[in-house]
Amino acid sequence: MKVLGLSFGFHDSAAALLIDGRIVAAGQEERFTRIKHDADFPRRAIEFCLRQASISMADVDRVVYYENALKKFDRIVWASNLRAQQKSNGRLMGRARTLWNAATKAHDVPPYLKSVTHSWFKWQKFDVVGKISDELVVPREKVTYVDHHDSHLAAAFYTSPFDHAAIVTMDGVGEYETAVIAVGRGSEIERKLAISLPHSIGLFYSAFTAFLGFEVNEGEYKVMGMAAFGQPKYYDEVRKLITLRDDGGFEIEQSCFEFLAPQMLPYTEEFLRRFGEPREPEADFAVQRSDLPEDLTDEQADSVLSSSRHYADLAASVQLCTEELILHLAAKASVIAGTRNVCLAGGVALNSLANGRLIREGGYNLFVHPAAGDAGNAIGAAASYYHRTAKQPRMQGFASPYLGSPLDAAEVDAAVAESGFDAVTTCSSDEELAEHVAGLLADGAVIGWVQGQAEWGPRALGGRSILADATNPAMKRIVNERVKFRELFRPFAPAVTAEAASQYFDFEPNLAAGAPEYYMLAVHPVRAGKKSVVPAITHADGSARVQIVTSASNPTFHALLRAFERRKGVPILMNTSFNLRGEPMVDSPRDAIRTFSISGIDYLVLGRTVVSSRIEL
Amino acid sequence: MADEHVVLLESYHDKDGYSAHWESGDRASQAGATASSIKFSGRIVPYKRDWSSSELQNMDANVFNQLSPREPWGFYYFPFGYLFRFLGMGPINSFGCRITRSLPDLARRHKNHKVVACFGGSAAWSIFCLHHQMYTELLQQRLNAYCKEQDLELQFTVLNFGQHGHVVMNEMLSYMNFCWDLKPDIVVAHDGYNDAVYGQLCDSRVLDDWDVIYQENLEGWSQILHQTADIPRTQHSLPYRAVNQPVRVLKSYAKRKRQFAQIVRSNGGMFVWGLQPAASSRKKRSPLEASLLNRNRNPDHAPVVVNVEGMFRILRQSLKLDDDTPFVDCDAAMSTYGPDHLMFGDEVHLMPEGDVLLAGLYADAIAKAYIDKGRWREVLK
Repeated sequence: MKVLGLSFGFHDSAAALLIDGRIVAAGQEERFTRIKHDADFPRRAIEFCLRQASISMADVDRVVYYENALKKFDRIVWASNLRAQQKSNGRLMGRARTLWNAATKAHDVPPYLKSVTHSWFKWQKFDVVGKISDELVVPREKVTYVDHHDSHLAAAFYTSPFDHAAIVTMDGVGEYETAVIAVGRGSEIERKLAISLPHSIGLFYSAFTAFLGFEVNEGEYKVMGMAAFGQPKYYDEVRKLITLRDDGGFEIEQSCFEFLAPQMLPYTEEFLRRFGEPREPEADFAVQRSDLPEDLTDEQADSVLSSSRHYADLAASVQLCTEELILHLAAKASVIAGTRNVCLAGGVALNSLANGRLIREGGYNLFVHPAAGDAGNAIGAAASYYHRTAKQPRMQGFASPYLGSPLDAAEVDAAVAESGFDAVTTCSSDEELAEHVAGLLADGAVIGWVQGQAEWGPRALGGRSILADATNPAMKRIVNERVKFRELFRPFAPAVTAEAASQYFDFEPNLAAGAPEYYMLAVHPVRAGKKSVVPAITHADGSARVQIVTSASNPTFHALLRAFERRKGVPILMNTSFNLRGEPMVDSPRDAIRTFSISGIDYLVLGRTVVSSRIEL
Repeated sequence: MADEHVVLLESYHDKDGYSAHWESGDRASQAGATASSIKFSGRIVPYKRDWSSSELQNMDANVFNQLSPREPWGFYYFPFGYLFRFLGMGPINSFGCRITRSLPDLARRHKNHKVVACFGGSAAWSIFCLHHQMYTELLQQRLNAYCKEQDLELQFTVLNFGQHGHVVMNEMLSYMNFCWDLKPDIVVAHDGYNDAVYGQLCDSRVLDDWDVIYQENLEGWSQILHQTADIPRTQHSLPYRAVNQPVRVLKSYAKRKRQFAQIVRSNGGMFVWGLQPAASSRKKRSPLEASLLNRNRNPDHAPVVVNVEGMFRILRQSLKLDDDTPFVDCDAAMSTYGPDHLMFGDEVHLMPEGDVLLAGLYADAIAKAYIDKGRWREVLK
């Protein structure tokens, strides 16, 4: 059976192809269109999936969309209506009245509903099945959909290595639901608890993300990064906003937030009264004078340092409260399911600080879907249909996160030939490549590393990575400032050989398939004596978002780490996604050359071809 | 917002006979004698009106002008690179350049009368500036003031040969056509953006094999001329997509610009290698500047414009010039100005304050490399 799962229409469009219980290909549209978080119909991702499987659309048995669009619109009407009621101080506008207004007198429709309705008509969201049918030229009967959190549940459980697990999904909002606890056994998923709007941990975190000057649905991980510079001084204030229920659920105090019908900002005047002025986007952030431009006066510098500490403290407080909530959900789910196996999905599952605590403090056997956000629902939708509707036997779990575009040798040759770069060398074997590149890294070079198939999910795992020497104290600044052109406070993650991981990081690596550390989805403390050994990947709070690499999980990358260890004595490299600020990760060799050209990367490695950035004009 | 408008209005305050009127809904003003208005976009545009006698004379100055549409704004055909006519911004010559002097007369100038010829695209033409606000006008003032300070018997005339859309190839043709006999003492090539953008868009075979960068819209002219609209252009759909890699484009740009420098030197002039600024160099913008950039941004250009900042960075890192060729990096200089300055009206075109900066940078470079070193004494004529 061939099932094509699709996610599109809101953010992070993607397609995934499941054939007879095996994920054959999965790709995010942004990688192909080069538009970050592209939400458009995933034409190119679909083409890629079909090409990988050497099939056509006629061969596909079912196309499954990742959510119930009409139920979602029902929620939007309900939420807009409720919000309008609240604003009109009891002057009720029934749902029927609101709908009638939508069809007749647009000026009476709540503004949020009006703008959403306009957008939905424009993008043909009311008839997603029809849109898919039209786009792919397949009969409507071939197209179906599953609920948003059912997609997340399926993505979390069916791709995990567990036969029995607690499942927790957490995001902003799907149709109505924002979090679900369920139990997975074999091919069955049984829902146990659902949290619905307006109580949303995803929207809660996003509101603070916006307040801290970052883009919602993009800057959440910057909040995590900023949190390390602060102390949770506002913990009590933030924690008051959350009520943890005994049944595993939670409630969010609503007076501070605008979750129902957000027009401009997701927070209210009351929020500002409690937490002060929001941080200006792109405002300077530094906790020490040396990180600020030299031309600032002492007075200006003091002002930046003071406000930075304040916002970092707030970020730390929000992060701590979020971790507690996630730990609460996981603990209850584990009790309900009667197992320490826990599967996570939904955008909040990318909170790698919380994931680290679940592993270390909770002692859970954790699986986090690598593309935990809505892109992952392309797989989730297909998997949900495959098991729950088509009643097929349990699919294979994730064998590898490298489900994206392969590196084609002919494409590499063509891309290099048209690149304009002259200094090109080719290694004759993977061993020679590892030794050569390790030498360059040890000499301080920053490397663009493109090998094999691209990663599924937001993390670069040695397929489309930028690599650098983790032992070089200056490297964090070099890569932030001169290579990726991003905020100086942003941390970098390490890739480490699995066999050496526990020497450097304070956790016991779980080498079983599916462990979050394979996918760089958990933060762990750097061991006390090692922080100065690997300063480039040690964050301000002494932590690191670790990726473990084995000779089985990625042999070429593993060989490089070992070769680097022979030179520098440390089997760890700084590993960050191969993109510039605001761009999707590179996908093809041409993308890689283009990004390499305009970045400060010293060498680009495409398979066994090494391109130097040295040119003379 | 209202306060921001006042800034614009003051920026275009009538000084030398050019009026500029704020046009905004209920505050709309009537056309002035010279008939220009400032739109919300920050651009100055001409009102519809009768042509003046000099404008009519220009339109009949040669057969290509006569064959062109009699419109106040538009590109028109010329055998050696198209021309552009833009009325209502101040005087232009019969080829669309913002030049008021007679070139044949200048060719017979005194040995102490130096001519600086400035080339480039629409940013060099200074489309957000009235005539007296152009960097070329300000450069002339600065150079002459400097000579006076130094008690030098020197006079400078600065000519603006900038033309909309021009890349270095066009600059060379303009030089050959209009400057060979003039023998400018100094040539400023104030460019980079058009080559960087168009270079990414044009046919790879033409670029790779011949280092030719051209405006992609010229393929459309070919389609019209030969009625071959059924054959797809290199950019056959929007948004634009980069078909050529940044470094490859830069190599062609640098090669052609070196060629231009050789031509200038062979004709007795000093070549100034300018790198024009792009808005991406402005990290901290004023609210009005940010608003203008947002308003005037063309999303169809975004996939290629986004590469310009990196391309300029590579250029400044990798360009190796001899000591006799001043490199004036206006882009890097622009990045040092904070949000108190209103520099850009869009991705690449400068507001009057930006042109003031350009004039200062080029004046300093010319003073240092040409006047202070006594190169002005090397009269080759």
